[in-house]
Amino acid sequence: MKTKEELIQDYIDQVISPEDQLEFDHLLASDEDFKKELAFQLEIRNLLNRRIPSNESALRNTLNELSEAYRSAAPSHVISWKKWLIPVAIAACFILIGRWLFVPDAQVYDLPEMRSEIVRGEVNTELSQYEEAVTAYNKKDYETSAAVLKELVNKFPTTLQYHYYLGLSEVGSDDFKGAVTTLKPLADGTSVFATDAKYYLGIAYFELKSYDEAKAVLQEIPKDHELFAKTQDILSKIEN
Amino acid sequence: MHADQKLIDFLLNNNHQGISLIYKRFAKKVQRMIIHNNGSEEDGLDIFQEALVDIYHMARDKSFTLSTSFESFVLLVCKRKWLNQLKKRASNQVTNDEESLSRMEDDSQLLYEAHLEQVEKENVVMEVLHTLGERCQEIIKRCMESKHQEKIAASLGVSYAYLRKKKSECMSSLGERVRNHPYFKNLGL
Repeated sequence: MKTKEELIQDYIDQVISPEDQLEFDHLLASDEDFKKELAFQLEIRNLLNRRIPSNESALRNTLNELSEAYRSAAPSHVISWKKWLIPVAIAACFILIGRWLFVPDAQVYDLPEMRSEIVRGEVNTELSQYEEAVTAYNKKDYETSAAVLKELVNKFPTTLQYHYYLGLSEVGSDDFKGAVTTLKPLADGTSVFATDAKYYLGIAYFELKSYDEAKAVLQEIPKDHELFAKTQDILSKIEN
Repeated sequence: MHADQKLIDFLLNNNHQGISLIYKRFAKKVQRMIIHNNGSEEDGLDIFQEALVDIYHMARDKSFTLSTSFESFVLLVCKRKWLNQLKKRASNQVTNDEESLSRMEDDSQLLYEAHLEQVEKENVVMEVLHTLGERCQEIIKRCMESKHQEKIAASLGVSYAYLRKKKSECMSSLGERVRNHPYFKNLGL
């Protein structure tokens, strides 16, 4: 004689014999607890069925790898204060002494607003991605705007606007090497972004301490350009 | 379908490059949210990783549709997971955190409620399954993967009758533990 639990499992796995089926039907009609247990076991079966089999372990391997890479890329915020003491002291000296000597005014680094291009009724993937970048960029979340714009640049390599704002996002997120790579072709070109790209390329070179390159590219900005005054600020800091 | 569905597809296809982009775009935001709610950077990263696994499972369901941005969805899943984590950590802070996090929940939660509840139930059952003995886990998994009971019995080196009896015992034990889990107790099952 099978137990109630065995009858339930045989029924769920569709291996119940005709004789056991009679007993099962009888219990189902007369035993409320049996009925509840069947419903509960069916739910568990359904929940398990959604997880087994799955490729979760392969996904977890990828996530573990990426989490580890993310951890090693991001500086930890929980290092002992003692380890920070000397670098902080040095940094404080640099701030005090070098504020007027090395570092351009914050205003010099102000990045221009990125304009939304949304037109009422017009919706497509490219536009919505661009708008996503606009939102992030204007909130000064330059890492996100750079990530979205990189995708757009890969998909639409001939749209120079995406390159330009990617370069600016890279400046904003202190990825100056990336900014040089992105902005140099624009600065060397003849598009409407060429002069502005020269200015931000100059900033990127300046931050990388490539002063000769910074000087060369900043000197190409014409006197009547709106960024000329700021350009002179950086050039004077390089000269000093 | 939302344009961000492609990010869901990255998870479904275990696309390394695509998932790397998800990390770059959202990991920091999740960490910030968790830190603002008494968690650490490490908590944030753990919650983010588990939320991505949950999203993967939700997206495997054909009825699932991403109807908001991926960002708002992943933040919603992370909020819920962190709230559950706080409930587990029975500290004096729990009440305040629960209240502040509950206030953070928005209308988008309603859109995904059924899927969120489903994945939470699945997580509990899988968690409980892993508390059973190895033999039970093996039998249950094998019986879920194949309907050929005789073949399963042969591959495990046991008789068909033993397999059926053991499977019944294992499922009964699993059911008992699931029923006593706080999550299911709260559901009144």
